[in-house]
Amino acid sequence: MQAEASADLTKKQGLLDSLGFPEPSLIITQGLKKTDYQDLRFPGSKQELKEAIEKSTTLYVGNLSFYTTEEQIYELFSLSGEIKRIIMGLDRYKRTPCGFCFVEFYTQKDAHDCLKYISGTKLDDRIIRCDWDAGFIEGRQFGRGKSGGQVRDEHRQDYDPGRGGYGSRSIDNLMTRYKKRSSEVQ
Amino acid sequence: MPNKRSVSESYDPVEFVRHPLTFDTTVDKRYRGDHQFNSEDEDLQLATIDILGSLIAQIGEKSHNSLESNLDDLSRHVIDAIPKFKNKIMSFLAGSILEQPHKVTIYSTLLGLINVKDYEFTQAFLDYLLSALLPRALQSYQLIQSEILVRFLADLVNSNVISTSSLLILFEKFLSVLEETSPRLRKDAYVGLVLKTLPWCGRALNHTRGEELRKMLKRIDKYLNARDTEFCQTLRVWRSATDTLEQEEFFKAYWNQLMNFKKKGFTEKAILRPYLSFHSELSPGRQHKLPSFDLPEYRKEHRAKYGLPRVQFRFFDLHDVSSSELSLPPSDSIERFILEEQVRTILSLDYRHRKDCVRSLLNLSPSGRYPVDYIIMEVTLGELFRLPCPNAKFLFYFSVLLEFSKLPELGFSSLIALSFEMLYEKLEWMEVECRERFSLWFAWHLSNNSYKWHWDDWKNCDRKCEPAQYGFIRSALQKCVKLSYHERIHGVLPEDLHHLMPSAPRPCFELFSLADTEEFASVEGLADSQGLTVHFIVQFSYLLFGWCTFCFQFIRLLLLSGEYLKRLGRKSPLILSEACFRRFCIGTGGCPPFFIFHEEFQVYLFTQCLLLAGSKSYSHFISALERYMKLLNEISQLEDCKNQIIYALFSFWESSAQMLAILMDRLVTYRVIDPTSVINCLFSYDFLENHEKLGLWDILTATLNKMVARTDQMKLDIELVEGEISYLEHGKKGEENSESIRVELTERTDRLNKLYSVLGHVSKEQKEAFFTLFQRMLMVLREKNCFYQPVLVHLKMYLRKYQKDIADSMEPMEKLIFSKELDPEIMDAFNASKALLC
Repeated sequence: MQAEASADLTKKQGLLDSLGFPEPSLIITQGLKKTDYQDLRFPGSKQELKEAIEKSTTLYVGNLSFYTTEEQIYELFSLSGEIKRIIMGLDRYKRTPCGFCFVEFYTQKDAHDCLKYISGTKLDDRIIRCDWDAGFIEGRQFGRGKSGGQVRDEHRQDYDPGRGGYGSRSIDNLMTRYKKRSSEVQ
Repeated sequence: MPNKRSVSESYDPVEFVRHPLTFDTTVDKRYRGDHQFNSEDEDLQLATIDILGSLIAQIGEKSHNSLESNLDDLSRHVIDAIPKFKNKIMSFLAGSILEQPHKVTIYSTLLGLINVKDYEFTQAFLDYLLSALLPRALQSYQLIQSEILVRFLADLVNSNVISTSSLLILFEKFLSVLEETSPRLRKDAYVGLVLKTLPWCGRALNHTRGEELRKMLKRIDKYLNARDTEFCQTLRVWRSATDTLEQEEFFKAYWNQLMNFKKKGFTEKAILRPYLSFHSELSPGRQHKLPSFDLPEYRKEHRAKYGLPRVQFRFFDLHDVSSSELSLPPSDSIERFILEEQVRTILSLDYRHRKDCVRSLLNLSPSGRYPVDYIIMEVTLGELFRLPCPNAKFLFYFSVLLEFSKLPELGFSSLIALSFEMLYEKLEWMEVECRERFSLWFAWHLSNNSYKWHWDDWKNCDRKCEPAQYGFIRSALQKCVKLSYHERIHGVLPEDLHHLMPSAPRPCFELFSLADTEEFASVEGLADSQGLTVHFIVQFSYLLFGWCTFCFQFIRLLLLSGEYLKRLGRKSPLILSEACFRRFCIGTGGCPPFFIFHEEFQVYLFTQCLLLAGSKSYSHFISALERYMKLLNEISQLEDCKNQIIYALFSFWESSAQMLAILMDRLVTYRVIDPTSVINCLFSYDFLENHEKLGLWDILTATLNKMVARTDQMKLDIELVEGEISYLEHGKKGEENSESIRVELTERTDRLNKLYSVLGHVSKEQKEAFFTLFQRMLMVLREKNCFYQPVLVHLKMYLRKYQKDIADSMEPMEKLIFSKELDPEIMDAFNASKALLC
């Protein structure tokens, strides 16, 4: 890790530039730091979003179970480095965890290592997905779906017991809710 | 148009192996609106040249055509493209060499073919390697990159690009380090650079310059024999050498292999050499002379950056390989070294994604019939268990092994099961630190495989007969519970193994209501006269000490606890638990109710209330902590009260080592407690008794790691700022006297001074902490009670692990703490770790 910093240093000093040589083009060992996700509610321009992601040490972690605890997330992600804080994603109305979280590290390398080694492996028997995040702002911990959870859980048609059963606006869920309500009315 | 694929897309392993590598092309940047527009023609050319770059990177992989015809075609295309895109081709070639070290011979053949038609380009490329890349790698202590580059240069003698005499001159340059008075680590690093290339270029050197080669080897032999290898005993993974597992120091073992290699006339069977089929094409090429360069000087602060020494790790033996056609080369053969070195170099690179690493490993195609997967397993395990610490995070090795187990065609999962069985049997000889890593790997693997395991095999594990295995299972189960939750593991395990699990986490608040405690009241000696009520204390203290600040704080604390009383919904008065009562009554020597005014009790009470408020989850604790941060900072100034916080935490969460670890970590991060007080508390006997249950050593290691990481980060920041300053002073030509440079310089110098003062403070704290640590450990060891074994083991571990941090204070430590009257075991461990960084 220290070698990395010194390498950056000599790059800055332009040793190669001054001699007229190019940088070796590294394909599989240079980190690609970009994400396809564009947060539409980011308070700033696309350029600012890009810059925020360049500097960020925060990760978005998705496809968690609603019942995954912070301690489990802490235990898994601290294998990659020291965690600064974990912010659980909450349902906007119920204020219970709704299956995502933000994990913030102290260094970018630790966050990048999570993407390399943890994203795509299992936590709590579910394959989780990690992605760069532009940085936590108060208010981002709430789900943006109409029923309070994540948008992906709105129209999900399959039954996922770890994520509240059927999607909140799917036919099966609406049917169950209607039947329950109408039986209560009677 | 090359496909654009991004990192966040899911990778399908099989598809990944078949599809070509893709990367960000300059054409993409045009689409993103970042760069100026090029003409259509130029775009097409750029796109084409990027395809050429892909071809250069992928040469040697599975193809319908043979490697020779691919090389032929590629060399012709490259030669055509050189006039217009010289710099790009150089960067593609250099990048491919640095990233795919196992293809060294393929790239040297390519360069040889280019050399025949284009002498100037090859000259420029060699210049690039030797005046820019290699010096930069050596200066920034990137030893892996330097080894790869030197190996490539050495292999060029085989493809007729450089002469053997110029290669020997380069080796002489490296070996000039032997005459210096620098430490062994630096000399070993440079000798390693030379020696590790011999399998590739040994034959050619022996053929044309046999006498000089022999002289050089003799010189190296003299140096290697004169070295002191006392440090080896702390680096061994297996404590007593069993007959199949030799653990010699790396250079000794390698020298054996080299001597066997020499006896066979420097012929070996493992390396794939495509230049042998191009003999006639390559001979017309003219040989180059390697340009010279200067080795970086030795600097004392960077002594640890040369890479710590290593011992050989052998795990599989010839009869472990199940297949009959493939056979593992014997341990003292050069073929074993070649295969292991290739795997080890691949594992040492920092990949973009774990699947890239797996892909590189799958592309290893040695020319003989060797069971490459066994070698991969052995080297990965060797790296994982490497002492004092491996090259990369444990997570890297875990995830690479997991990726391999997901590829069904290789049968890797049965290999993992076999290795696991073998390691499990040999557990009692394994170093304790390595056992921890092994159990962590096991827990990670299970968590990714739904905890499916043949648990019944372990039903009869007995504490007395198999203590190592018993401890391993307990530790692994604890980690499994941490990664999931108690009920899950409880459900998965059979009945007989439930006693090995950690207890279910339950907070234990020491103040409780009178209503709950009928049995409590019947306990002898705790009748009403000694029972205390909170209400009573408030009235009494207010009367006596109404104006005292001390009391003001106390009332604040009591009001706080009153808040929590309300939340608990308890109206009845509270009683202190017996243990709490005894501790304060006896400890402070006060008689009731006056001890209540003692600061320590107040802090204890306050911390317990805080923990109760934060007991719901981790975030709740953090917010409670942040709310009362100011008060906690005041408390942490008081010497005796710091310990009370720790005692309160341990008694509240004694059922859950996980919560203890997490919360202690937060308290240390927020500087509420400092490492020295942690060390002092943890070595008191009530904690040592339950050291396994409470996860004491994990907490201690985590605290020390944090402290050391902080100092390292400071040193790194200082280096960066110093580098910036020297860049500003010497870098920019023609602008030396400009105003902006001067302003920046003063700003940087100020920052540097501030950093130095903080570093001084932090280093002093660190030194003190380590002194206290070793003093305490030796105090326990002197008493020779039941804690002797665990404390001794951890003493050795810390001496080895933090060697580079205590290197400066080894002399005072030797005088003050590690004096000669100690046990020989302890002194051996101390001397061995001292020898690590010499």
